[in-house]
Amino acid sequence: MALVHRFVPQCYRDSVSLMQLSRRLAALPGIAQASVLLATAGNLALLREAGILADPPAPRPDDLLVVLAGEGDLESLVDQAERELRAPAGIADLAGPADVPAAPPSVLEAVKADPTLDFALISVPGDYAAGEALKALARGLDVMLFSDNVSIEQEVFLKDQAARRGRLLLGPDCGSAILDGTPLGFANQVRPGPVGVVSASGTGLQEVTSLLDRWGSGISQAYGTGGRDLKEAVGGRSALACIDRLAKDPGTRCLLFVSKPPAPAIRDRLAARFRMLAIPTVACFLGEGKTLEQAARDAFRLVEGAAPREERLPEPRVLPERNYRSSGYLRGLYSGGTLCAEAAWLSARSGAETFSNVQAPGVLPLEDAWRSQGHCFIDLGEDEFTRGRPHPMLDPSLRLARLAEEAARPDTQLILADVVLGHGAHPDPAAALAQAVAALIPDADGLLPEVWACVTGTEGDPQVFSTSVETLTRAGIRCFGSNASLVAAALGRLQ
Amino acid sequence: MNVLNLGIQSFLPGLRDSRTPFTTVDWKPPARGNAALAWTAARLLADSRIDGANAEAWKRMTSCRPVLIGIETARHCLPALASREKLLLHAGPPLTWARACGPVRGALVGAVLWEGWASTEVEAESLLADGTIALEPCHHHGAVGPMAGVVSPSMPLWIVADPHTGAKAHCNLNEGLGKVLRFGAYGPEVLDRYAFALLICKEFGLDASRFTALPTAALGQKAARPLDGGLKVAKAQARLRTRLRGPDEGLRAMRDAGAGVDPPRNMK
Repeated sequence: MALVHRFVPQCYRDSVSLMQLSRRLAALPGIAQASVLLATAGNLALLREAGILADPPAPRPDDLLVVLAGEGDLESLVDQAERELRAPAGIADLAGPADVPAAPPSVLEAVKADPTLDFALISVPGDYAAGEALKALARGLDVMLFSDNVSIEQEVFLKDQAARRGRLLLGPDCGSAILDGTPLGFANQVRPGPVGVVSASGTGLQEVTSLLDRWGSGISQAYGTGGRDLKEAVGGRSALACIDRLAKDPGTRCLLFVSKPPAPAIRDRLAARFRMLAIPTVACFLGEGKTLEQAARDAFRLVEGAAPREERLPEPRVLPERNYRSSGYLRGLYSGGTLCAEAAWLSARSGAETFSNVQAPGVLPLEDAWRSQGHCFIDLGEDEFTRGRPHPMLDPSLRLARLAEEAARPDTQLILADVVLGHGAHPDPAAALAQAVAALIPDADGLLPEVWACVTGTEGDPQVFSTSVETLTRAGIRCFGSNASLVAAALGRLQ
Repeated sequence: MNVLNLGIQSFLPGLRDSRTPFTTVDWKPPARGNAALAWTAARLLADSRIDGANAEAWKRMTSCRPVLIGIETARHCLPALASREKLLLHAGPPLTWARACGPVRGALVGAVLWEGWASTEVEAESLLADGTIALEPCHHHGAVGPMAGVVSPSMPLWIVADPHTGAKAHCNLNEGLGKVLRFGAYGPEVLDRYAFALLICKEFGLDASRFTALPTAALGQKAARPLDGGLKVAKAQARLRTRLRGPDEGLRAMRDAGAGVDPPRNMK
């Protein structure tokens, strides 16, 4: 087997595009390994650890590196990859042919060319993200910082800069927001409506906004703050700024606030701010009382004056050839971190000894995230799984491999999974899960675990909520409209 | 909302579907991938004091009508060069010998030789390296070192003033084309030209109010290319069949012409 690597100098493509190209190359006949990545010290170390490049070259952080291992004419494949990387950014096919103006090379040039730009969505590598955010703030733009790996000092500095300039900084590590009906990052297509959301959690924001949409209400604005905002050191700077914006928005009739329990001093500051608002607040401090679904329900009742109509999802198709285990453990395989933490917390609250690789009240830490023990909830979006690999909301392959592994274990009674729809996510996560479930092989006793899923999404999403539910139920997967209802039903099944 | 996207391109369909206008940046790691440098640069770009100071600097540059006051030896017009022994002023921000680029090093060595502080370039370099000769930016002393320019105590400087503010600035004389100190050259032909400039200083240290320095563009003229250098005196004398004067003699004649005194007949 041969191995070639080649630098593509002074070239950049985003992490998702590189992942897609790597996967396409890896799927070609004769190719054993394919990686296309930014030639940073960290990425080269990953190549060495993974045994792909025993002796990696010196880092060249503004160049791309193509690595191919396999049989056949690797050089011409690398040529082809290089041509593709050098081609104009993938925006051309989006904006229409020909007369697309060349993409500006920087924030400054972009703002010079179009002074009406008022919002920057930043998802460049974390090492550079704070600098780009600062340039955008300085040019008068609000900023959503999707990138993570921004230091806490930079975060505080950026948030102070934003406040001084009367601008908003969402993030870092802000996965989701919906502003003026525009989905940003991983976000769902929701109807406009009276509920304003401020959430420190990306999937938490997606869950409550999708539920409100499907129940028939809607969202005025949904701000993500990033997970660290309510830590003592950051002081809830973004959350408070977002609440100020909502307080001035005449279309917002209720504030729905979602976060982990904040530091005590921050909690007092938030409570004081909630009391000053002219509109009512529903606060969901995850793991303290309300589930995301209950919080969404309370907000719905406040703005619509009645409880939401119960959503009825179709029953899963019965697969007569399958025999399910009648005892064992719950195994949650999650792509959304907050959904995973909520599930683990609900399981522990029911009295079941529960393990997880994320922290939640009453939940025991998992010894090895790669190996389940007891009732167990795994967030596959945690760092240990995403180093050098795309997030499971984009690339389900790791979760599906884990699904087969869990199914083969005789102590797994029921597998739970979240299926998160929306913009930015995998084009059809329901089909990917359905195929993997259909391919499960019964154990020596002819038994399999059941697979249940909660689906986060709306009818307006590109994947379409009802279509996804249908795909799943056809594969024998029982579907739930919320994570809380999924976990409640699963705990009921155990008894 | 009008969105600027930096990074992941697969966020764009969501913007398109909700009919939100967007621009995408053809982003590359700034500062050639040096993250610490990129952060420093971003902080400078975001520092509002710099925008304000740039606007003020631009205003002062464009509203100023500089007037040439005269030519003076550096030690007589820059107090620091008079009071301190072995000080050189250089172009650019503060630096040390170790951090100086090639052309600045060349100009510094040239200035040390010109001052007679050393007789060989090796000796000059060691005086510069061990700090015997102090280095400070021209800009700290109201002077400009054009290109890699260096100012030493015995160099002649133009003195230019803004009559409105009284601000005064000092600058090396232009040495013409070829090997020049401002590009770091310090061979004998460069130093000879400085000797010539000193003669100009001696002859023309008078009535400077006649001269107003203006950008060429303000005169509506194209800048003329300076005459070719490298004139071979003996060859020229033979061809012209006339005696060519030495620099001091020639300058005196020019000064007299400027004062309205007819030149001696054989100058015509």
